[in-house]
Amino acid sequence: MHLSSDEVIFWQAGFIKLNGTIVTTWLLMLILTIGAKLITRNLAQNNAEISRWQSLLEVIVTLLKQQIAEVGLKQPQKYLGFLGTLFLFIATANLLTIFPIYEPPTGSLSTTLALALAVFIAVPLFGIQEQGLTGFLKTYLEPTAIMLPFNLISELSRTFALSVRLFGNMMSGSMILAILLIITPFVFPIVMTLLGLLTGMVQAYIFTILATVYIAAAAEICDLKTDN
Amino acid sequence: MLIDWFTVAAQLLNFVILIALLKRFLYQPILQALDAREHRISAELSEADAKKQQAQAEYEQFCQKNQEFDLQRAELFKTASEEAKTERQRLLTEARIEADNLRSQRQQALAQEVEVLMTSLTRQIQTEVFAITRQVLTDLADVNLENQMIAVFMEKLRSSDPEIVSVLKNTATPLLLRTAFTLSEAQQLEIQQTIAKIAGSEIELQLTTEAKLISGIELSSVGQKIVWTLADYLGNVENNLKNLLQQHIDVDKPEKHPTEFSKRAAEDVS
Amino acid sequence: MDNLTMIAVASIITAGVTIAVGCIGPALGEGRAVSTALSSLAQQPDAAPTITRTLFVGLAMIESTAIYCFVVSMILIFANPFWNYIIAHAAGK
Repeated sequence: MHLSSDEVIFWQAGFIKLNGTIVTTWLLMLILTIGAKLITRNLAQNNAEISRWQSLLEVIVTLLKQQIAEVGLKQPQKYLGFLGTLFLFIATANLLTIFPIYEPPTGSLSTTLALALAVFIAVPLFGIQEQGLTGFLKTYLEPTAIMLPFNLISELSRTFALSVRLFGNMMSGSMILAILLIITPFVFPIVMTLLGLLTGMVQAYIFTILATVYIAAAAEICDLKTDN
Repeated sequence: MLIDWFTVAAQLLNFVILIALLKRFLYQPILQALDAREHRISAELSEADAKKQQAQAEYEQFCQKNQEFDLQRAELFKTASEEAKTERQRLLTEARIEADNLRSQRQQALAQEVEVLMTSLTRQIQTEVFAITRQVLTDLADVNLENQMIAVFMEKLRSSDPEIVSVLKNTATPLLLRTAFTLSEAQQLEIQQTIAKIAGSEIELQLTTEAKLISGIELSSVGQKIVWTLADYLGNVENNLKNLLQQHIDVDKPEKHPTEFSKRAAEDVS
Repeated sequence: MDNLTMIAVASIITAGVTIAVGCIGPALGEGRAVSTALSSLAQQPDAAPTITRTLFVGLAMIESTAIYCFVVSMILIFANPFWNYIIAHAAGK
């Protein structure tokens, strides 16, 4: 019994190794890309000819755009690539837990840390893009200059919390499932799987919303300034 | 150790690649399709709006035209009805006048007919009455009546009418005495005496009998005569009667006002 | 009972106590937050998206404290620095 799929190593050459997490992630990327490619290959223009898959994708994309806009970002299309991919990746990774042998890559702290690091890098990038380098740096001195260390610590700690939250939820989900399979192999694992699906979706939503809020907080100051 | 730093780096790279892939294959096409559809729908909507406006404008135009048409129709109808009314009035008046004329003509004709009939009837009756009278008188006339007549004649002579006297006095030629009956000797004598007495001289009398006079006596000189006959009498009566009848017909003619009818017709129309 | 066993026992007990105690505070806080959010939702159903989003963000923030406890307990069990130190010390001996 292993804690995460990191420990399943298929191939190793010194520092470089090919573990279960990376392979599963590649699989996910393949599924997402090929699915998107297949559905968007021939998009219908007429209302009557829209396929159900196309409407599914349209609903997802429109919903994401709407959620991003509701948090307070003025141009949702600009952030859709990053935040949308974040959500789709986590949600797909969590939803595929209904397959028996599958181990979600989000149950590995390495993956969640990578995602949180992506957010950690993306927030300053979007902030600088929105209001310039000095403008973004000023946000760290926001209430007063004394708050600078606390702002920096909060920046680090929230990244850490982001990664550990997702990891803890997914890891505990699969762990409970594994233990239950040993104790009561019938019925109860299914209930817990259902709970795991719900938790996985909620966690994907929370991760994306938190990333959106952080980006909005970094990009919003400019709007306040121009308003004043 | 929970964190494998190579895996973290690999996952970060994987994530960036996934972002690029999904951007290329998912977001761009879907957003483009959405935008295109939005554009198309908005274009269709604007087109529909334009069409709607056009339809509205056409509808308004149609309404206006309809209204105008209604107005025209009402006007035409009014004019036509007025014309019909005046025409009817005219026709009625004409008919009334014609009827009046016809009636008056007929009345006239009737009156004429009545007059003619009356006249002829009167004449006939007159003639018949007088014929009967004459017949009766002729049949009934006898000596006594003759005598009486002569007596009356004599009386008339004796009344010494200045006219008669002058006639008798100035006559030179013998007097012609016509009677219906043959006078007796005494009677002749008496007449001769009486004339003589009036004229103051003897005057010769020529005596003739003529049944036409109907128990009468006529004394005629040149251009002048003194008559006392029933025929004359009857002639006088006849003349009087004729006059009377003529008057009667004139009075009886109905006199109605021709305007009365037209007045009533006018009330009917209004 | 040598040092190694004592460290192991202490680590495991501490991990359990950490996660047990560390969950109480966030649980109470989350319960209050959710109840308030629910009454707000009942009062203003129109503001449901905003309330829900804010609730999730707030819950995530509150949950961070529990996550720190979880991390500490994880470290105590899987990556206990003293454990490694004693092993290295014993090996050195």
